[in-house]
Amino acid sequence: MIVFMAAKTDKFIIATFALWAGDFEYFEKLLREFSKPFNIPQIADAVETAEDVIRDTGARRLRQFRQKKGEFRKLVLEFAERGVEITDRPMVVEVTHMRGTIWRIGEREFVMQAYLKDLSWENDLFSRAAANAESKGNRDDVAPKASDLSGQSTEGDGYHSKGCAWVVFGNPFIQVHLTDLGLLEARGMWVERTLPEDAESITNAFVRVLGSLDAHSGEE
Amino acid sequence: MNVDLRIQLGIQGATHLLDPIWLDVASIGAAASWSGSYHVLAMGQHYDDYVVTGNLVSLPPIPGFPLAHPYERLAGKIRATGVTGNIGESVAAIFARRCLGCGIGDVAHVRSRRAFMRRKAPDYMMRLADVLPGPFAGILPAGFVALWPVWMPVESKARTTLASSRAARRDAMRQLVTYWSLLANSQPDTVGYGIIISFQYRGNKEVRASLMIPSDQALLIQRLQEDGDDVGQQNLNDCLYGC
Repeated sequence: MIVFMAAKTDKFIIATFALWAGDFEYFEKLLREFSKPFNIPQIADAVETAEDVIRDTGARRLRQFRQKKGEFRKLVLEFAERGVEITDRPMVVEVTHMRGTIWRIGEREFVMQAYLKDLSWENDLFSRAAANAESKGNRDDVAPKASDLSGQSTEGDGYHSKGCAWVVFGNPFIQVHLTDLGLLEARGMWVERTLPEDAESITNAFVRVLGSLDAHSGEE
Repeated sequence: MNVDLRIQLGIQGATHLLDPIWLDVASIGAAASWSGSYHVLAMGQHYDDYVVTGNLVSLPPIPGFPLAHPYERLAGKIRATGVTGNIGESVAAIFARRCLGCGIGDVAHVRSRRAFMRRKAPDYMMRLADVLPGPFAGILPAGFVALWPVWMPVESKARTTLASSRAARRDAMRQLVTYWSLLANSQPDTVGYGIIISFQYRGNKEVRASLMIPSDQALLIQRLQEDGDDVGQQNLNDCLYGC
């Protein structure tokens, strides 16, 4: 049996995924654990190994992140003076091997950006996603056709995408796309006449998408 | 869109054609939104406008509805360098995953928002020791015994023409030299190894993967120790295959 040994650099790579998703607290947590203190003035002088280059990049991203966070705090105060509350914390959802953020990007549009928090789940993620994408017509709520959404021809020789795409019918209607790098983007549109009365109406649908790609979920 | 894929020893060595690589809107859009240094929200749509991928043709037809591509909107516009930069950065990750068989944890995007050296850090560090030589096996020099470093620097570029792609590969090599000079004392075994991925996205579209390997590693280390990353081009040519 092959036992997956998580490399130290996994934290850096997952942190870059978290930053992509806007999962800022998790990004910061991982980089604090992986990289040396971010306030060293000349980080590059300390490079002695290839891994140091990665570690230093982490320290630098952390420093840049802190600067952005400071800028945002000022904006929050400005909004607060006008009686408006804004936050830099998106809705975060989590299953056993994946995390995701859900953002509201329009009156009725939502997007979930999800990623692996455990890279040993890579093969399972892609095989489950492929199964979702292949199960067209077998179920009412999953009607996929990867080529329709990703424009991919699966015929002939060549290096094709490892990713796939499918749609989930319902409310919200969701289009899901998994990329070569295991990054998942799900775009949902609330299609009822009236807006949802609570957040769960939105988040539950997205969590079910994640659940279908994870272990021990009810959505197989 | 299928794109010709060539591998090359160094940046001037002979090339070898592999099976094409599929670079569709979704793949580039998603990879670039992660690895691109510039904040561009609709990378896939930009990519389709810039290179005309044929994405529209793949959509299920609707009778009477035209397959209208917005390409000519570019007539009054300049291609944004941030977008083309993002396209360039994304191709290396896709190549690593599909053609080299790298795992997700083997591809670290390390290009910083601000350069922390006089020249920039590499775009990627990739853990390639277990997957090389892979598709490069056929172009290795006879008798060459590689001690592949665990992590290797990878540069990625996108350009419009053959000539600008050639120039970009040369720039990328200088960036690898910067990396090698950093480690010339502490990890000399890593010196001379790297990969440059260049994507020519107009005309005869092509992705080219140029493998950098040392022909005289000891001499290259010595030159880097003496001159740092200012080491001259002729010296590099003497120490690297295909340069």
